[in-house]
Amino acid sequence: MENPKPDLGRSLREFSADWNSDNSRVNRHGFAVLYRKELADHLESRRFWILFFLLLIISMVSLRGALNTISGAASQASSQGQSITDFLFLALFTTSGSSIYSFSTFLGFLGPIFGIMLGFDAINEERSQGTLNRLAAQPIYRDTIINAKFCAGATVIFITIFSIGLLFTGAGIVISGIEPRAEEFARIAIFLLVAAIYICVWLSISILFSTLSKHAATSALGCIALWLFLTMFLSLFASGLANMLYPADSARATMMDAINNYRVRVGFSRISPYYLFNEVTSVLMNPNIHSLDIMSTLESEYSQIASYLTLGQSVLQIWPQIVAMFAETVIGFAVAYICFMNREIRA
Amino acid sequence: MSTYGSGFITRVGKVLTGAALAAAVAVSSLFVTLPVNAAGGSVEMSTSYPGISTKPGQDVTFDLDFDNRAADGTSVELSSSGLPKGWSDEFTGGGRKISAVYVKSGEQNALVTYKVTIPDDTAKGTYNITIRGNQSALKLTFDVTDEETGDSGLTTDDTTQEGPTGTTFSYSVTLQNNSAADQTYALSAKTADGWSAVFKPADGSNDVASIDVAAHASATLNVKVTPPEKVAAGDYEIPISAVSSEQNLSATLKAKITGTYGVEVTTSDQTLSFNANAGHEKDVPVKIHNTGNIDLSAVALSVTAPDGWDASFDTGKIATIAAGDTADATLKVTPSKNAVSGDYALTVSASNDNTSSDASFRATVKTGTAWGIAGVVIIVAVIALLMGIIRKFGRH
Repeated sequence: MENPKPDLGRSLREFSADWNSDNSRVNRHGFAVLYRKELADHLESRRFWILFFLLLIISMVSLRGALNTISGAASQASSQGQSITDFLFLALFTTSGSSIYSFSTFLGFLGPIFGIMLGFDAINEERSQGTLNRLAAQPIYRDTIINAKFCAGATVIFITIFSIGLLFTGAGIVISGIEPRAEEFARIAIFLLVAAIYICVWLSISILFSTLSKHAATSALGCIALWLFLTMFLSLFASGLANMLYPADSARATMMDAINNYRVRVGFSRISPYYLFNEVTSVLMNPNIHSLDIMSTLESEYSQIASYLTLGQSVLQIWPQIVAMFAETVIGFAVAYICFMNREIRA
Repeated sequence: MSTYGSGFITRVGKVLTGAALAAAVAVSSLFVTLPVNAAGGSVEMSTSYPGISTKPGQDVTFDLDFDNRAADGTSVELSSSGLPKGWSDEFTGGGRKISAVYVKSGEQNALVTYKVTIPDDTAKGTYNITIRGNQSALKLTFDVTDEETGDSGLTTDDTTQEGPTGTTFSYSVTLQNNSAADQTYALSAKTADGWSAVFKPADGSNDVASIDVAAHASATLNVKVTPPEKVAAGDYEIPISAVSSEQNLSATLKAKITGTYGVEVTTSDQTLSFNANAGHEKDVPVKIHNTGNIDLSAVALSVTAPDGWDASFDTGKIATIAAGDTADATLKVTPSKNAVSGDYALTVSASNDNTSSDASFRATVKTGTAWGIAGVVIIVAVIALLMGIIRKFGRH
């Protein structure tokens, strides 16, 4: 960054020398030890298992609900001589039952709680128990502590999401008897990956809160307040702002007003990772959705031939959302990192 | 009661008949003084057209008129002489074969019909027959004009038919057998390569290769001629023949193939779909194929695209496309900037004054990967930022 024209060979050599230095070796070893310890802590903790089984039970219940809805819709469609969608298996993930949310909705709601649970006491708990001093006294770089904590949390998230997602898939195949196609498997894999990134956003936010606040309870409450706001109330703020800027329900409102109103509302809502995740889910799990842009959708409504988007095209539609979530994770972690490094550890 | 009644009437009838016979005998014995022979000389037999021209195998009839100038009727014996060998004749009257006729006083026309049957193998020439009625003689002259086979022939009313390529021609052909014997004709048509001709009796439903025609009868045939699919315009002749053991009849059917106009819009690999990026021009090579057998001139190309799209051809009208040839054109399509990923339909049509054709193209719009690359750049920048932060804050 400092050098506008970096000499790649020299930087690589420097990096290699740095990488192989004794300090680095010790640090890597320390990182591995810390990472393993953090992972073990998470996997042995009671609250992890409570949340894991909560997610598992909820996913199975939502599968049941989705199956009821889909079999009803399928028999209705076949009795009317209509064909069922080609991507029936994907519908298991997004179809809600009569009294229960769909799997993807549950992930969108409860995933953040899982991420917050993993990170809200990452730093301040160590500090309040006085173990941070001891850790900092080890022959490791100081940032290794927060790096290892984040990596262990992210690993737990990936393990959890993929195990629950694959259990859901397997149970779906066994119970429904639908054979997923290769493209459906690919879409499910990408969906689970995005869900994991989405939860990592909350992991990095909760780690940030844990570095900022002294008490674990404060950071937990702060995280949950932010989660509630972004998940529940941001949409209200967004529509309020949009209606203020472009009143769409007045008698003088034009088509352009309605479109601008919609755009402001959506643009404001996209601050929330929850909204981004829902957009990703809707496009990824339904190849019939061609675009998230209101203008394009309006324009293409009549001229387009009904067809499915290919996987690559679907991913391109939601690529900005994925990038945004990834960037939010990295930036959240970077801020937490800076805060952690600037904090005085020694009491 | 009834049996008794009928027996009584029969008996009465017999008595009455006996009485009448007795009376008749008495009356005839009263006039017996008039000589029959003397009265016979006064009867003259004649016919309106004693000389007749005819053909072998035909029946000739003469109506015989009688004129009895005597006051009394007389019986006339009828006979014929000089009948050529193999000929047969007969006198008929009142619907029956007769040998004598009773001629009442006065003129009586067409009292007797004389019928002569001329056998089929009669040679050309003049024949005479004399018929007699008592003393009156009548000489009949037969001029047999034609040979045996006569007018047997294969004729058609509509020898030349006209139609564009792809037309099936149907001719009505009459097969006349004027010979004395029934004939079985083998039917055939000499067609060029790719042509086909089938024969069907006018009253039948199946195609036939041969047909029986009774002596002196005719049969009507439908000949269906199918030209090859890609036949060039021009005049064609289809000789057809009906051959029996004794006869060889032939006729020529004529067909005039007029040109057909046809055009087809396609691409070099026959696929009518292409990919395009929203807002970016895409060149689609299109081939205009002249499927007819006449050159096409001034072929105009047009395209219908969804709203907001820009679609046009680089060329204006194509001046000429020779029959069977293909012309190239390039379709320039720019999907709308806001076009959503997915499939769209475009209709390309080629037309001139004579013909036109449409082809529906399917355009698959793909979102450009430019923003995808921008996303990757953002991710790389964010990671670089993190690395920079780690360098700056971490390892000192």
